[in-house]
Amino acid sequence: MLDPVLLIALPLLTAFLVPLVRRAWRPLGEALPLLTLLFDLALAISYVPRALEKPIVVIIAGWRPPLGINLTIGPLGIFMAVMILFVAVLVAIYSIWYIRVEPKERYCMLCLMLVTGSLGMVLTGDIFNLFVFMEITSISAYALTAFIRDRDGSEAAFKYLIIGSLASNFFLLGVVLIYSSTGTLNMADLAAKMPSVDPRIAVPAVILMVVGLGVESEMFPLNGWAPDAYSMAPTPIGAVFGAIVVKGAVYALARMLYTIFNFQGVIHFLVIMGIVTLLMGEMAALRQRQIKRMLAFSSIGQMGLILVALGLGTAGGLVAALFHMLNHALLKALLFLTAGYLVYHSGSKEIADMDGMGRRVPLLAVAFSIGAFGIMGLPPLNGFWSKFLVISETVKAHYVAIAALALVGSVIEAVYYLRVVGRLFFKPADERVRAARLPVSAFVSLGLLVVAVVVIGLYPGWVMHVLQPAAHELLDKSFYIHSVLGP
Amino acid sequence: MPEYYAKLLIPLFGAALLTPLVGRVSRFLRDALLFAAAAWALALVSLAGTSVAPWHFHLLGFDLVWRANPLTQLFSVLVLGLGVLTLWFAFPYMRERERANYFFFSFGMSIAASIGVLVAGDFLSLFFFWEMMTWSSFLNVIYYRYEAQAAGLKYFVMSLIGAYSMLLALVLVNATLGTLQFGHVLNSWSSLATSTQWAIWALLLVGFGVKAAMMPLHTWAPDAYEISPAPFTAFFSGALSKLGVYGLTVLLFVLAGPELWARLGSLWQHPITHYTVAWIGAITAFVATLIAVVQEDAKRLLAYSSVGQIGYILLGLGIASTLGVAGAFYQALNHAIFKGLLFLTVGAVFYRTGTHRMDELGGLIKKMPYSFVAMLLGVISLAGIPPLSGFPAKWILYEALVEKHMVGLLVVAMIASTAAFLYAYRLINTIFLGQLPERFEKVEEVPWSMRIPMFVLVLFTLWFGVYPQSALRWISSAMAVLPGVQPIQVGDTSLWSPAGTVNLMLTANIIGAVFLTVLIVLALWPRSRKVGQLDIHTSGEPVPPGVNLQYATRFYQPFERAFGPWLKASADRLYTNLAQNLENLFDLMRYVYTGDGQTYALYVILFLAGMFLFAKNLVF
Repeated sequence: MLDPVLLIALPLLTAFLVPLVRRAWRPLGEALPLLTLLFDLALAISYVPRALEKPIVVIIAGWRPPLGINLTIGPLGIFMAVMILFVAVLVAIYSIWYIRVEPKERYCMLCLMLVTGSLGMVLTGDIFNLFVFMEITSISAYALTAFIRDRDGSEAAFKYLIIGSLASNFFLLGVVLIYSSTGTLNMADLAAKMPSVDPRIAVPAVILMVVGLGVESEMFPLNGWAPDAYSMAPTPIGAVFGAIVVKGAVYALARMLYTIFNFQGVIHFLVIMGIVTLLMGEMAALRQRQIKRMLAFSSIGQMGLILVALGLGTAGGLVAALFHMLNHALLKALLFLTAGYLVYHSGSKEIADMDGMGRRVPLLAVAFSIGAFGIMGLPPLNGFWSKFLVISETVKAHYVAIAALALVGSVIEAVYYLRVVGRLFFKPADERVRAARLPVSAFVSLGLLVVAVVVIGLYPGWVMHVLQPAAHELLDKSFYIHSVLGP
Repeated sequence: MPEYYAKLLIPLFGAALLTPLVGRVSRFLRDALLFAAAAWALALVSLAGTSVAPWHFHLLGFDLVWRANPLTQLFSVLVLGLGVLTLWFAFPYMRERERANYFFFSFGMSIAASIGVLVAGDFLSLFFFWEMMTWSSFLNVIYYRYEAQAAGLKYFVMSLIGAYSMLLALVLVNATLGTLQFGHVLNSWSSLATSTQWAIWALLLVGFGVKAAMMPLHTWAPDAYEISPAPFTAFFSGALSKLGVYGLTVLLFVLAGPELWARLGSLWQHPITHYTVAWIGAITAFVATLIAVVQEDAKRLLAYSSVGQIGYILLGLGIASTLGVAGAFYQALNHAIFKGLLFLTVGAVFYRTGTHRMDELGGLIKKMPYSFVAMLLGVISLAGIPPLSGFPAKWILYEALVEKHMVGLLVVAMIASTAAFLYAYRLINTIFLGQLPERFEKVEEVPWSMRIPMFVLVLFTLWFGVYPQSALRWISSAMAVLPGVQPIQVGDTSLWSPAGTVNLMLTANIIGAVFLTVLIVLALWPRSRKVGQLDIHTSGEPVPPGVNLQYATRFYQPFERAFGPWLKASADRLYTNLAQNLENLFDLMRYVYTGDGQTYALYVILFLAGMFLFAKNLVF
């Protein structure tokens, strides 16, 4: 069996190889990122059965935990890794044709670094290591935001940078606080020692970490960076933000709150933050004029729903949250990738300029509608099941009013998505916009996403085999501790 | 999946999904496929739909069940029967139109999803198919694209509000009882808190009420019915809206019987929950009828008439007695037949003339005599005149009201019924009678392929008017499924109830005999002389072309003058304003995102400070 470290090491290595290989033989350089990610995805999938059975603990350089850094590939980690890699592969396929702005090698490098960082985040068993990987992810994300080197992009990247570095400083402060009182950085060891830590230290630490991770996971009011970054970055990067960066941060948040700290009050606090985030996101999205900004706010709204489910603190709630994470990753990727070509063909980011695209580029508009219907939670698409589960679990946890508010948010969401879909199909198209065909790369990536969305929608029970152990891993703290440190 | 459900649903969904592909190859193949699937499902349901073992399965940790019983059979036959006939009508109707594949895809999906709704024995399956039905019918509402956008959005948003309140009710049931199956709810009903029972009632009433177009949740219906293509409108109003009635039946009689509901409180010995529904029904019937009278568009008129007629059904369900429920089901059956018929005739007129505005039409009786007869019979059935099926339905309902001494409701229902004559007559008068506009001189009758489905419906309304027993036996077995209501007793020839009997066979014979006598007398001693249309109107004076002799606009001016001030109050406008204001309010939230990096950084710091301030409340 191949060493699981390769999951993280391979994209990192390729990131630096790409410029060299591109100089040597250009076609290989073009294909290398995709091939690496495909291989990585296959590798990750091959670990799934073993990870579900018993978490794979990878010891690095012979230093056993709690002394050395280790990777803990449990059901949750492998689920996140497969999700991240699946979206990454699709974005890589899509970008083959879409990104033609030089320097493309930098784009590939940054994307691979970002994937490396988020894979590291979800697989590592060391909290400082998690911080490092988070920084790798964020810095690549800042750079990608400014990839189109114009004024707006740089401004958005700078805003993102300011808020992001504030966040990582807070997170680091939190790490420092708990390290100073426990003397360990290993997450399993921390989890075991945490109950004996003075709450006067633990509480500031958890607050700092929630704020630090809240920024990346788009929690209101820490999500000011999101709309600008999503809309100014190259469009496929919007999909990467929504499906990879944010999901990695939510994973870290869940890991901190459930495995390490386990303060019920903080966990339930997420429900309130989640519903506020959801409503703010949906309300702000209602009259956005630019499609990517609208999608960004919709993404905020969906993250709110995930936070609500995460804050319930029940097994069912966690399953629902993880399921919705997966579905949102797929749907938002689908929406952003279609939006990329909608913008490309209409030549404008404005929703108003996309009139009649349904007649000019029908496949694209149909794909967008499927994504929109999925986000709205219409059967038989995947969004239906996870939204249903979230609402059902929220009511089960006696948050009936929160569930009702979440549904109000859903109605708002339906209104603005339908308006866009309506424009695509109903309005007569502009003269300038010509009928066009999708390039093969876009067709393949969008096709795969649509298939995934429909298949999960028709066979939702199938994903549960991974989600239930993953939720169990989060809830059962001692299981995590024992599988890393031994009984 | 057990055989029956697979045999029922797979062909329906399969045919709908294949429609866009097959349609590219051959129009005929597409039509044949869809029709065969619907006809097959109809045959299966009517032959085998009563005694099927339920199918239990698990999904995402929920215990789900699909089942078929006489109640669902009644509604399935209604949906599929009308589905088959309207599809038949739609094939020639859509021949010359664009996007026929799209139309038939969404039509097929609507039929399939409705059958899914009826097969579902638990809330989750019901909700799943319900949402599918919503979006597929939405696709059909927006068939005319741009002009239909507002109507489509309104329909979708209101359906979504309904669906979400249904969702809230079902997760509430699941959270408190741990089951989603209808059958299990009854047993553990008593363990529910009173507030939960009220919540379930109110949420499901809204949820199903939207689809049934119950007032004041009806405002989507006129717009959506007006703009959707006519064959689909017939199905929409005749069959899809009945699923709301089915849902309310489940709410009021399956989840818990009237006695259990009565524990929430009762008024004059009626459960307050049912009594409210009865009043909503009566008011719906009354108000919708008044609004229907002043419409200028035939489809809008029929839409309001639909809302009103469904009010009678709700009234019947609300009476919650044997006769009341039987009357409600009879009216559901009857409404499916005659409203399907009326929408199809209006569709036929639209097919030939391109309009359904009544002030642009007139005098089509000579050009489209078959459609005229179809509409005439539809209108007679609507008005509840024997020997057509409208009569027994209303007769049973009135008898139920008398039996329960519900005088107030009876008066309102009677007034509404009388006012319905006004708009019913107007349909005939302004479309088929009067002066033929010159531009319709060349109009022809619709082809036979479109006349046949209309006449099949005519035969049905006649059949159920003369032999109400055949329908009542069926309704009686459907009612046997409902706990807490005695099924209606059916005699061989007469309609029997505690209040008395009526022999409709006899009535039909008398009417038939009178009709024949008059016909024979007229045939033997012809006293009439054919006169040109202009002869009477103008006393023989020649009239220059283009002079309008018949006024169809503002037909009931005195009526409008009398009711005008009240008609001005509009629920629709209220909602639109509310939505507009809410949107403006929500829009303010956009300004939280100033686009300024410093503000955002400030938010982060403030949030951190806030968390430290409230740290004590967070940690436990």
